[in-house]
Amino acid sequence: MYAKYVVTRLINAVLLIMVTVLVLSTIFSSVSDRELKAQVEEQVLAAVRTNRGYAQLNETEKAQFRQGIRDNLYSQYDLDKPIYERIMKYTASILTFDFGKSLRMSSRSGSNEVKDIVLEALPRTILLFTTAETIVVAIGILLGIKAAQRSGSILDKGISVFAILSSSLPMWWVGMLMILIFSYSLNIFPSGGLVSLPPPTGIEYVIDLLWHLTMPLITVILVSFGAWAYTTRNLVIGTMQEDYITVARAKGVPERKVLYGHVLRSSAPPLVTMITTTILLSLGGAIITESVFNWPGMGRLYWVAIEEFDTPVLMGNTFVTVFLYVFAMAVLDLTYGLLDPRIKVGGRR
Amino acid sequence: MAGGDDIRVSDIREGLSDFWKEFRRQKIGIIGLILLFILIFVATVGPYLTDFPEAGPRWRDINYWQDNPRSAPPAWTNWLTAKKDMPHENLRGYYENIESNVRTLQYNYTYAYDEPPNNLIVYISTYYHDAKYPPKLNFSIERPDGLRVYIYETYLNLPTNMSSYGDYSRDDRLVIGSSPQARKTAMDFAKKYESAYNLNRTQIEFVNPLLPLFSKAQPGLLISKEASPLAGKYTFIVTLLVGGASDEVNESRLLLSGSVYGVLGTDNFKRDLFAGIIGGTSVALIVGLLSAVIAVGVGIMYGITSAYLGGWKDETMQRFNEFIYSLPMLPILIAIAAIMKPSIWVIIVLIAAFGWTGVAKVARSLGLQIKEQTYIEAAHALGASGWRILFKHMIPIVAPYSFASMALFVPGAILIEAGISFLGLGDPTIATWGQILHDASYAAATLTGMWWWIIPPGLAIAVVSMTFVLIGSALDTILNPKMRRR
Repeated sequence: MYAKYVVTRLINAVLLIMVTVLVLSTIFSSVSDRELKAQVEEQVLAAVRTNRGYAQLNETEKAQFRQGIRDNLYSQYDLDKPIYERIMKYTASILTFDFGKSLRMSSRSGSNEVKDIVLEALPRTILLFTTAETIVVAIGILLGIKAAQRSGSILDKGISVFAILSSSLPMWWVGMLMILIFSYSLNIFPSGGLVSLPPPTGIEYVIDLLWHLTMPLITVILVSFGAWAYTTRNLVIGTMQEDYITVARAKGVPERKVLYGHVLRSSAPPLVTMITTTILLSLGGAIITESVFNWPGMGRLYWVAIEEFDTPVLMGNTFVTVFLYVFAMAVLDLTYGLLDPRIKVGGRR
Repeated sequence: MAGGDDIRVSDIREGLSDFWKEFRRQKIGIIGLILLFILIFVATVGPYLTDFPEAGPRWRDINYWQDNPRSAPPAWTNWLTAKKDMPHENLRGYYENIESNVRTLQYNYTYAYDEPPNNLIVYISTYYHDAKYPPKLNFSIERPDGLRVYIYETYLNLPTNMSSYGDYSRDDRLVIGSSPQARKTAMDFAKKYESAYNLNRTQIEFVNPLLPLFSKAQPGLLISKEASPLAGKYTFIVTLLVGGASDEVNESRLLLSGSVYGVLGTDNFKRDLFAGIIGGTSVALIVGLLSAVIAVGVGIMYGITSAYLGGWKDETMQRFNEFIYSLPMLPILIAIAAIMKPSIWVIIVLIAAFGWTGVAKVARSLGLQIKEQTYIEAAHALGASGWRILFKHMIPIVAPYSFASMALFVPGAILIEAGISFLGLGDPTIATWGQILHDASYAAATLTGMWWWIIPPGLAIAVVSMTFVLIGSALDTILNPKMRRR
């Protein structure tokens, strides 16, 4: 039964990716159509300008000459083929992880394969955001439980207010404030980047990296943990009102045991879902926060690709993000299915 | 039909007054509501209260901002620093008719700062009758110490391609402070008081001609470190010699270009940031509210329809919903925005296109509950059509829930639009807070300490999203238990 679930879920994920890639390819191809044609006209003009014999030709010959170059370039860029054929070709190459070459950017090793550029950025994003989210979840759950225990206290109210406040703030703007305060005014932390230039070696490299990591890390934690604590608190308070908790208390089970043994155990499944989805959704905030801190991950790659008009890199980055996201969701669903008997048995209702 | 409608209207009125009674008890909801009214006021009337009412549409028009100082901090920073910088000032003059052919305009100004203005610019609209005798303008300053300096004169000439007779009205912008004429007169004035030693060692071409004019008439007035500012009441006098009695001045103002500016200062494109932030309010509200209405509207319809149809249709619709739901919104939005360069309306639709799924899920589960109610069965038995049941009996019941979700949808939508704009992918024909922050980030405002360029736009975003979070959570607490009670 579980095997069937695994298969359906995976097929679902693959299908989802294929459709997304197809849709994005369609948009991309139809827009790049216009750009490519304009580019071809420029190249035709350039060819005319550099050709010495061109001026001696008569009007029809000139037109023929231009048409010849144009046809050549059209077939080179596949512009002579119908658009759906190009869309299919592009979709197929993306699905086989062939993202092509970048227009301007290159990876640190000097490769201008889009795949290399994106894969170089990926571990840095994971380093920053996985660390951050782990800390956020830990602080959030701890504070949430404390708040639920003393519901109505100053701590509890403070957490609610902080949650509303922090969820209204753009994370990347908080990052800008952090740079303004800690880099510009106080000059304690570097304003951005992965490591100092020139990068130190050995253990100093690690320390330098952590030093650069601190400020983006604090930013993510500061903006995210409030909402976490708030939701945990609501979940725990909700569970505490269940009858079996009252029974446990009436039986004389110590309060600590009630909380950690009974309440937390039954709040765990929704918490786990939340953890996973939060981590995945944090990719969103990550994209822009990374650019603020010049953290050379996948988010920063978006910024650079947009500034440099490097569309292949932008598309490659998007596709890799979509792949990762969709498959991570699938894997999480599968793990969850393993834990939750209702799903394992097959029925959802 | 009419009778039925009457009952409905009174029902709704009663429902609304009940609802208001409950809402009034929600403190955070009231705060949110007050904030919302303020925001709507700022979005509609606000731009006309700033010096640049067209800040939004003309944000990228450099001519619109040309007279402002570049990268100037807010004027009120003078309160915090020992050195008093001169604020940018727009003076309106009063008009006097001395003789039949002389018009004078006076601008009074109290100067109490540590540095002279960077420039003096006169804007003047004149009307004259005889093209052979255009008005002759003369500009002079009367200083607090009683000295009067004649600085600048010019004819407000006819453009050569105009015919020589007729009625003429023209607008002039006279940049006086940096004109060669002003430099010469100011230096002539300075030479009377400056020491020979200082005159020898100064390169007159590099001195701000307004420095001696705003300094005490004593040696040192050509050297910015030695000059001692002359505080007090200055009068700027514009005299017009006109050709005929019917010639007049329509409008005129004098701009003193300073180095601190207005409520929130300027950015490095000389743009008034206060005007930009006020101008961006309407955009933020429209983006948030419109995408919320579309997303929640579509979500409710979708969810209820799915619940009502049931069976394989329901199953298919839920599959599609999950399809959209499991896509990462922001990366895809960024990719689409980068390729398509969309207008703000397309961005709104895209945000809604990704955002409706959560609402649809809740609406479906609510719909499944409502579907089991006896009155739906009764409607069926009476032969009501499917759509009638859907629109008359199911959707109105879910409607209250939709208001809470709309309010809670707004902050997310605003943050997403701000994020897209921050990446430089926003609609270039308007000013948004995200775009202001993009420009700030692009110009490395964080590293040059231009806090007035960074803090206000983000605060504005935060205030708008908080407004809707507050309203949304208040609505949620009121409406959700009701939904359960049904």
